[in-house]
Amino acid sequence: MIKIVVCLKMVPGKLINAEAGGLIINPYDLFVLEKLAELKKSSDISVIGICMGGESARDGLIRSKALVCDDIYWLNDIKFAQADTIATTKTLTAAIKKYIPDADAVICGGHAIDGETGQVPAELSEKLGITYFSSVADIESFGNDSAVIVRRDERQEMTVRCRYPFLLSVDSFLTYASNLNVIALKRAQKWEYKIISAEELGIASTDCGASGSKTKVINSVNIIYKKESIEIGGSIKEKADHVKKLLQQ
Amino acid sequence: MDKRKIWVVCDAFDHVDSFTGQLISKAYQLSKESNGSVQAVFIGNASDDELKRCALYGADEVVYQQCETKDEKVWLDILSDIYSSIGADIIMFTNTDFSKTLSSLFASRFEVGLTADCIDICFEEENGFVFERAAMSDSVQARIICINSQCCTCTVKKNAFVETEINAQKELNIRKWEYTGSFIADPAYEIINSVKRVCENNTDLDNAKIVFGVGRGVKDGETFDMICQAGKKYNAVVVGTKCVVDDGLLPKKLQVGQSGCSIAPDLYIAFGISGANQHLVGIRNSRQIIAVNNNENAPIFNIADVKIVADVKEFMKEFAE
Ligand SMILES: Cc1cc2nc3c(=O)[nH]c(=O)nc-3n(C[C@H](O)[C@H](O)[C@H](O)COP(=O)(O)OP(=O)(O)OC[C@H]3O[C@@H](n4cnc5c(N)ncnc54)[C@H](O)[C@@H]3O)c2cc1C
Repeated sequence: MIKIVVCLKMVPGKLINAEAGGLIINPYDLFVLEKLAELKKSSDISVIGICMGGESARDGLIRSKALVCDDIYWLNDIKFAQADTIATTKTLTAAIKKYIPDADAVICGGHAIDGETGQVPAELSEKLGITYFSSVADIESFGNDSAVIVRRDERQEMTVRCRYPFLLSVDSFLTYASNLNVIALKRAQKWEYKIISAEELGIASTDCGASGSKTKVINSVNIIYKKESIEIGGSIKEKADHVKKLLQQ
Repeated sequence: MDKRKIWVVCDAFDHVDSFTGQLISKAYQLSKESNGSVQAVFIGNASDDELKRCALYGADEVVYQQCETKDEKVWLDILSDIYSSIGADIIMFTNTDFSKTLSSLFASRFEVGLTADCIDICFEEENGFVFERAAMSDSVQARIICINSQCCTCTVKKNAFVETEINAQKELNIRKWEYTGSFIADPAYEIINSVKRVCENNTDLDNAKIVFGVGRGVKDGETFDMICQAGKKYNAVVVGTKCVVDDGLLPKKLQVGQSGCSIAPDLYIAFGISGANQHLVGIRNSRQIIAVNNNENAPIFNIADVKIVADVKEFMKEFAE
């Protein structure tokens, strides 16, 4: 059985749909979950989700469970809050080392659509000491000692076989879970989600959350300066003609 | 006090490209503000003459390590070796895929603060180096500092800074590093198949004079097609907001804003774009901005030179005439 860890982040739903409230599974992570659900039908894999997040992550975790996860570790403690990428990496590393030390593969979405830094996957691979593959577009199969993946950048597309253990950063995304079935969802709702605190994880509070962070937002500023704009009135035709004239200059 | 060490990690391998020039130019400016010296760390394969070009932008020293491979892990070990030996106060990386990985590996190894995709950096007596990037909220930029961190690191967005040659003739010291570790990349994988991708789109966004921006207000394929047609007619590159790119209407490399690219055309026309800060940071250097939006209070109008309150579809129908 190949053990696969998926790192899950829940992000504000309004980033995808202006009317949506609450948190949803980061679209890049959702792609990974759907892909694994598909591959699970034909290969002997077990999928373990890890998520650092508060109570508002529950709905996304239920969906992750229903989609494919055999087990989920929910790192939920106020001490984890406001972590930058370094503190996040340390927390995830501690959890993987403690609960899934024999993981064959760790898979992360390439970035989260709220933070957009894309730094955690590489940082995590360094702390876990496993090979890092970025720009992964697709996962084809899991074998006994290696997996076949597709990597894609601007210049080329490569199909590569990589030996376990490794960490993948996946650049494909999905905004909608198409394989979610109602019965699985019902069952996932009843499942008991293990909540792991900082104490239980055995991580010092100076290593996680805001106190474990190496960066800090000191304030926010507006760097976009207002301009005096000229409003073009009149009919639609007059407006269009005005812009045409500007373009011809 | 010793001078602050400001590093720029050059990643173009065999030459000093314009992105590197932008970083060294900024580093030079920071060195004046903070009493620092600029060190360009160059890993790869370049002649002394090429390395000397770093001085044009204000570098005081080039630390050069000859290396035949461009592999993140090998570079990480070399960079770690140099850092452990001479140290740095601030390290600037480009935000190419390669350097994003390299900087993340580095920050994780040394547990130092890393800010992604900065659009500005400054030095302040009380805060030290301050990095600016888009914040989670729509209308502002976050100012970020490093805390409990031996040095500050960041990746910088392309075109955030201007490549500027300094007037003075600078004495450049080239320090040849002699790394004694392994140059062999980890062979944990095997390539089964590799195909070159044809570049579908050779548009030169950096030098485009006219750019049309498409936002979520462009709701149907028909309107989008009309904008693309008009783009052809006026020789304009069509780009989009993140929402439009996430919907798959345009490829990622045509996304403009914080997590996309920055542009500086003579004229930018925003069609159905609300004007979130994360988008505005990518277009704020445009010389003239026209915005078409049906909501007269849309924030995009705050930075527009020409304001047109209209339905995009109706507008395009007339415009295409
Ligand atoms: C960390 C982070 C990074 C980000 N990076 C980027 C980035 O790089 N680039 C980017 O663009 N965004 C980025 N965003 C997203 C950004 O916050 C906004 O969500 C996005 O720019 C909004 O896109 P939009 O203007 O197309 O859509 P919306 O905000 O939905 O705006 C649509 C606009 O269209 C108008 N409209 C609707 N119908 C019509 C009509 N019929 N006629 C005319 N107008 C109409 C509406 O009035 C509205 O103003 C980022 C966000 C985060 C959190």
